[in-house]
Amino acid sequence: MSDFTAIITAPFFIRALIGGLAAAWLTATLGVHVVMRRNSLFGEAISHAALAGVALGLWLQIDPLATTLLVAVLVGVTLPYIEKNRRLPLDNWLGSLLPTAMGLGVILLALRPGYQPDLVSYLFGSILTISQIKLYWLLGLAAVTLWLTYRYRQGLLLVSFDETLAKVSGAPVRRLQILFNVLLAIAVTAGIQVVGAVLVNTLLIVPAAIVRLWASNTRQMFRWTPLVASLLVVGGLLISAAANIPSGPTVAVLGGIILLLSNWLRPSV
Amino acid sequence: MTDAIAVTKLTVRYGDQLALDSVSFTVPTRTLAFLVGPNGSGKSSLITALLDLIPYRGTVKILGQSTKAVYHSIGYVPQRFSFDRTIPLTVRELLGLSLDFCHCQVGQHDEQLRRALDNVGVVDLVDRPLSELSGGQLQRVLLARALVHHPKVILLDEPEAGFDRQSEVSLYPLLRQLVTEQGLTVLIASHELDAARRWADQVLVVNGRLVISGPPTKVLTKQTLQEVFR
Repeated sequence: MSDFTAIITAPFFIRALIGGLAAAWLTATLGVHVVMRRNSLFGEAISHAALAGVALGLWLQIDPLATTLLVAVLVGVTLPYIEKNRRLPLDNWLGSLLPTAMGLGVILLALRPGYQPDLVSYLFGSILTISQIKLYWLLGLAAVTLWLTYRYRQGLLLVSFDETLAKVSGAPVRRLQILFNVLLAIAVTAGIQVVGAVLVNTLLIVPAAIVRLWASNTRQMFRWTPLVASLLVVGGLLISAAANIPSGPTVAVLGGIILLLSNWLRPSV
Repeated sequence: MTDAIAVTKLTVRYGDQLALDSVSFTVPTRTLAFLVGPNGSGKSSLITALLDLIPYRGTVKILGQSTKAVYHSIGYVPQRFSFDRTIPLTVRELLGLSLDFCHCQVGQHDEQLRRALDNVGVVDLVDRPLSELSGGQLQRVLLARALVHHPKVILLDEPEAGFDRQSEVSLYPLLRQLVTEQGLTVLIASHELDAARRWADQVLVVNGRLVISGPPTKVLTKQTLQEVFR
C-alpha cells in the first residue's frame, strides 16, 4: 500500500473527511444567505471573535469547541444591536472590532500559564486532528442547524433578500435576524474546525459565490452550494494528503482557483 | 364609507430636521388617492411612516388597526429596489416568498401568483430571474408582488421612478381598475400632477405639513400649485 493510500484510509483521515463534509454542508448553506446579504464581514467578525472563545476554553480547561460556540453565538446575538448604533456604519464597526476580538484572544492565550497551544491550528484549521468525540459534536450541530435552516428557510430567505419587503410582508424580521445570526455563529464555529478562523470564508463565501455565477434561481443556489463546498473539502484534503501540505490553506487555494475559473468560463449575460 | 387610512398628528423627524409636522388626514375605502408635493416635501416619509418602517409621533390606523396588525392586508411598492438585482431570484420565487407570510391557502399559491402577474400584464415573466428584467418590468413585478396576497390597501412610493413612459401611462388605469372593480384603496406618492388630476378621487398635497386635501378639482388649483411648487 502506498503512503497516499495508507493516509486516506487511516481512521484520522476518514474522521477528517466526515467532519469536513458536515462543516462544509452547514457553512455553505448559511453562506448562501451571507452572499445574498452582501455581508461577508459578518461571518469574519464572528470567526475572529471566536478565537477569544478558544482562549477561554483553554483557560477553563474545557473543550474549546464549546467555548468557541458560546462566544460565537454571543457575538452573533450582539451584532444586531451594534448595527442599530447609527453613529458609524456597520462595516466600520465590524472592521474595527474584528482585530480587537482577535487581539484579545491572542493576549488571553499568551497570558495563559504553562503549555502554549499551537495558534496556527486555530487560525488555519486542523481537521486532520479531529477527535471522535468532536466529530460527534460537529455532526450533531450540523444536523440541528441544517434542520432549523430548512424549517425557517422561506423567512430567512425573504429577510436575506430584502428586509423592508420582509417587514411589510409581515415576517417576524427581528426574530429571524437573531435566528440567522445564531445559526451563522454555529456554522462559523464548525467551519473553523476545518479551515481555521482566518480562512473560514473559504467555506462560507466561496462556494456560494461560485454557484451564484451559474445559478438561475435560488433553489439551484441552495442545492449546488453545499455540493461545491463538499468538493472543495474532499479535493483539498486529498491534495493536502498527496502533497503533504496543510489542509485548510489547500482548501482555501482550491476554492479561489475554482472561483476565478468559474468567473472566466461563465459567459457574460 | 369607512376610512381605510386614518392619520392623526403624524410627525416625523430625522435628528434635528423636521420632515413632517403634525399631519392629519383620512382616506376612505375604495379611493384612489394621490400624495403630491415637491422633492423633499415628506411624501416618502409619510408612506414609510404609514408602513411603520420609520419612527414617528402621532397615530396611524390602517383599516382601523395599527399597521403591524394588518400587514397581511397591505400591499407596498417601493420607490427603489434596495435588494441586489444580481441575486438569481426568479419572479415566481419573489412572489412565493411574500405569500408565505400572508393568510393564504398554501395549495393556491401558484394560482394566486399567476393571477397577480396577469393583473399587471407580466404573467410571461413568471420564471425569469429578476436580473433579466427591465426597470419597467421589475416595477410591474413589484406591483404584482404587492397584489399577490389580495391586500385591501396598496401604498406606492413614487413607482414611476422605475417605469418607462409606456408602463407609467398604463399604471394609472390599472390602479383605477383595482379601486373600482376590486374595491381596493390605493395611496400613491407621485410627482405626476396631470395623472393626479385625471385619475385621483382624492389628492393630498404635502410640503412638510399637509397643505390641502380633497378632490383634484378643488385641490390642484393654480393658487395651491404656485404656493407649493414655486
